[in-house]
Amino acid sequence: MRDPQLLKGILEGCVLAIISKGETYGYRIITQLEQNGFDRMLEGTLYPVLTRLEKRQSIVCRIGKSPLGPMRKYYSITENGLIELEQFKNDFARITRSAMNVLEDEDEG
Amino acid sequence: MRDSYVFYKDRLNDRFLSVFEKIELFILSCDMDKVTVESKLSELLDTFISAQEDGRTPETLVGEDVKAFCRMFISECSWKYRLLNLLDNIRWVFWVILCSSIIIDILPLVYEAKGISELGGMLLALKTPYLIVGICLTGFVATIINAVTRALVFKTKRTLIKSLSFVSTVVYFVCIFLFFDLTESFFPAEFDIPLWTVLVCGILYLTVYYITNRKRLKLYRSHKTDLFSAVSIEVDSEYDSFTMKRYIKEKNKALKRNKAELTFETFLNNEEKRCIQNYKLYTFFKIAPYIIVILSILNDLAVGNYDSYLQLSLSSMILLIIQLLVFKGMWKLIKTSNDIMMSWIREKRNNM
Repeated sequence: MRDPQLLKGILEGCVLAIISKGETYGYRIITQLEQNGFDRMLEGTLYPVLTRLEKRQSIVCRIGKSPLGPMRKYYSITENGLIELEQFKNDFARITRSAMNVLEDEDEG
Repeated sequence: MRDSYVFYKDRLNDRFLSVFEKIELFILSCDMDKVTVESKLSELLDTFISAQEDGRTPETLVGEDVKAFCRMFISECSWKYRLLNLLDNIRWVFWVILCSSIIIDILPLVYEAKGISELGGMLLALKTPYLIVGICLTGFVATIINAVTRALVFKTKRTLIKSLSFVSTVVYFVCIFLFFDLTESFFPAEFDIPLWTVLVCGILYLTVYYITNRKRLKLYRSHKTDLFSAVSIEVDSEYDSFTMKRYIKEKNKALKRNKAELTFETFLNNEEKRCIQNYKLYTFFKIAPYIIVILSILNDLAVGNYDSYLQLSLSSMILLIIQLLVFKGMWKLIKTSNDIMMSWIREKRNNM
């Protein structure tokens, strides 16, 4: 993905969607995003997203002991986060439909 | 006491460790408060170890440009965290002032050391304004050094990273020393702030600080792992090798004395009994300081070794504090040793 602005816009929603499926942690979110095609998107973008979501109280964080040693932050979604996710899905569907209409028109033109 | 992420850094291989150390030095030079730094580095280290277990390389996580990764990683950490860092540092300055004033003012009541009080009071009165200016200057110096460190960290070879960190620390303390050495030339002796003013400000600041930061400090204390507890969490191969050698030694000793063969199960049972006995010592370590102080008071009263009840009370209080610290330290050593042994016994029994 070449456009970082485009990525930034949808990454928060995708991260919320992953966290909404159950409590998870940073590396697992990274691998799930990569499995779904967000390859090489990292470059540090995930952690600021998680910080922003936590500040907005869309997710909460629990500090626990990792089986690998250091402390690990486990994230889970809040009520606010669920509402935000629904809104994101609606907005994304709407924008995608509109964008596809424009792009298809351009192709036909 | 060591921070938790520092204790687990050695689980990284050379490649991951090289990248992690650069990121660590960058983040440590970002003037953020300790809680945030600990939290971020701990999370990053966990991610690195997980990726290493999956056979990945650090470049697949952070990209080719580590500097850009670092900038992005801390992009959400605003001036608020730098302010928290400054408030944390000011806290320690006020603690030093308060402890110094207690030592200077109370000690002479306990001991016939008036000279200390006069000299110390003079020093504290003279240096109080310097301390306040010093806070601003050291903060400024630290900011400059940190900015230079951040600029150099990605241009430095891995072997020189630790040297860079060391040099930064040395330069910082040299600046502090030079400041205090030169202040007498610039500050007239009349420029003075009454000690009681500084003490009141200090107590006020510390009270407000701890009330407003209690949640943050509680979080920090809850996941800050000190060396003793961290060692007791898992038994490493060195401890295992050492204990097995001890078992073999005791087994051979029993054979030489024509006693019954010391089986491994018997050895484990004996060690477990010894640990259980040691755990019972907790009550002794808890009440021993109080018994010692009570005996000391009774002795002083009996021989008349006191000038006033105030002096007797103060000296007893100081003695109690020292005894509590000593016995607490001793108990912690014994408990840690016990915890490690119990952990080892459990591991061996699970494998049998």
